[in-house]
Amino acid sequence: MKPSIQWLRHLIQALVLAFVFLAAAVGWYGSNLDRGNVDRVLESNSAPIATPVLRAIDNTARPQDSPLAVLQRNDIAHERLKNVTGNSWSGKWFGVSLTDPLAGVESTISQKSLTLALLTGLAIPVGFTLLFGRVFCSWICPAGFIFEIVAMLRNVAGRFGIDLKNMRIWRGHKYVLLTTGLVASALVAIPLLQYIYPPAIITREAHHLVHSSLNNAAGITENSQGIAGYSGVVTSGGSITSGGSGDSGQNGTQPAWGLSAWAIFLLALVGIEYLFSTRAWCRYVCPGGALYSLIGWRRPIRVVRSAPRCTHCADCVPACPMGLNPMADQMGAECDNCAECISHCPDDALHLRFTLKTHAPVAPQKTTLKTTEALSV
Amino acid sequence: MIARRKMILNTARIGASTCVSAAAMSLLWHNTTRHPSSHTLLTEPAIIRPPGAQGEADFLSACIHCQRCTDACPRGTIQLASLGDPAPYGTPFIIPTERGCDLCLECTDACPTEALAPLEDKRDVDMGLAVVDDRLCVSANGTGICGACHTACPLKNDAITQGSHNKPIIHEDHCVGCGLCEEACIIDGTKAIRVFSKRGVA
Repeated sequence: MKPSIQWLRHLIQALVLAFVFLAAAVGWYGSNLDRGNVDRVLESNSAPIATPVLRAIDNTARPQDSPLAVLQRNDIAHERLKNVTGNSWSGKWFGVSLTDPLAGVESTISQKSLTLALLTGLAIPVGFTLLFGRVFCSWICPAGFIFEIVAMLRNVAGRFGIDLKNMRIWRGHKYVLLTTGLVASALVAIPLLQYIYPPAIITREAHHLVHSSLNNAAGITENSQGIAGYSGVVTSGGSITSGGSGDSGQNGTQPAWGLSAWAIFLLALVGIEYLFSTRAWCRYVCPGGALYSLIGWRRPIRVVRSAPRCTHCADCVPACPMGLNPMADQMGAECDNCAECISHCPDDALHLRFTLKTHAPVAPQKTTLKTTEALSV
Repeated sequence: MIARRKMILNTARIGASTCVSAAAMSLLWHNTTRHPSSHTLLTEPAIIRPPGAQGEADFLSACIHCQRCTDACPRGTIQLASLGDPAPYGTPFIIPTERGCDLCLECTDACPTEALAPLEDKRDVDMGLAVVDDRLCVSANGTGICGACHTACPLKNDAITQGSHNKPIIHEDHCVGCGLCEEACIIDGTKAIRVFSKRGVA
């Protein structure tokens, strides 16, 4: 067991997840600086998380203790913040524009033209995937990290003798979903897969959660009022109400929670994965994972098994988060180069290598393996 | 025989999978798109999109709901639609009554898909058109002298000129629909000057 690379991987995943929330807070900071809302939160210490987070952002963005006037210092902050917008779905991280390939392909297909801005954003992620395969799934994806934690919880439950079901279904579902989604997006001219793609859901829900809680901390109520009122519902008193469905007079004074029904979708996935099928979304359904698999199919950097060293101990088989069998050389397109099998190999038989030899995308061939667990693809 | 059985199994799998995912996609499309209802009042302003947005259909086909425009907006003008908002979920929109746009065009730079097309000049923005309700405007109905909208207008003397008692006169060719006039309007509740989208009802 060589755990060091796994700790590094989990650290990167955790940083990305934290960055998604932090990026939402940075976005709120930039949008509310000139209006004095940021200073309002910084001065009031009522918000336990919001105030320290905003103070940290403020310390890096705005020059402190400077003789400049407030508005000039704000301008400097805006200039600096231009390098951090968006999130892991599409964003500018420290000056580099990055867009998820699924977002790019979907948007290109639904608007039926490829824009230059999209191409520059896609260059790095696609190039990385061509080289390293589906590494987004194992090293970056914030939803994959959450699902991995769920899988760990399943293992903990197993140690306490709780026997959880592990259903395995056909892996090809995700390619079908990707195809259907892209065809549907082209037909209705709206990118549809972004609604159900968990990393994109997380970025949107993080945005809504962070913005609504920071708005509450700053005492802004206008965000939750007037929106329904704008579409024609105006009370007799002339003030715009917070909703068209009878809850007039509240004027958005109640704190908004901010999450939407898609958070429930995400929670349902977590529940399903915990109770019935480990890593089910990533293995069988994820359209983004399918796209990354296709792009990274012929990646030169992959896990390679050295047959003479392998003692067929099968330690790598339950370790694979994607449910593959490294012992039968199932490191095709589905493998996301997470290196879990390498970390679990006691015989030093598995290595990340640069090789131009490729495996079949999915290799469900029967082998002489005794562990039936691993074989059902 | 085994190969044949495998082929049948795979065909069945693909067929079932296609049916389920196609059903899911049509459900998604139906539930996430705003279908205009027959009893929508004509006085209701359609969704105001950030600068650079083309027609509503073109905008929706390109937008990937990434929040880069909302993050880039230094004024907090651009909001991201959550459930219950007038715009389809996840898309950016503007409520000029709350915050107008000062036409800095940072959002068009930030957009990764050109759903907000890059613009050179703020005069090329076409978000909507301001309309004055003479019954509500104090300068127009004779109850006072105001001029707040003219003061706030970034294209003043082109988009808004003033008549007697500072009554605002909108010039359709120059007004870009930024909404700063609506934000500045002193009337509580429904403002006397409001921005209406020219981009077609979504």
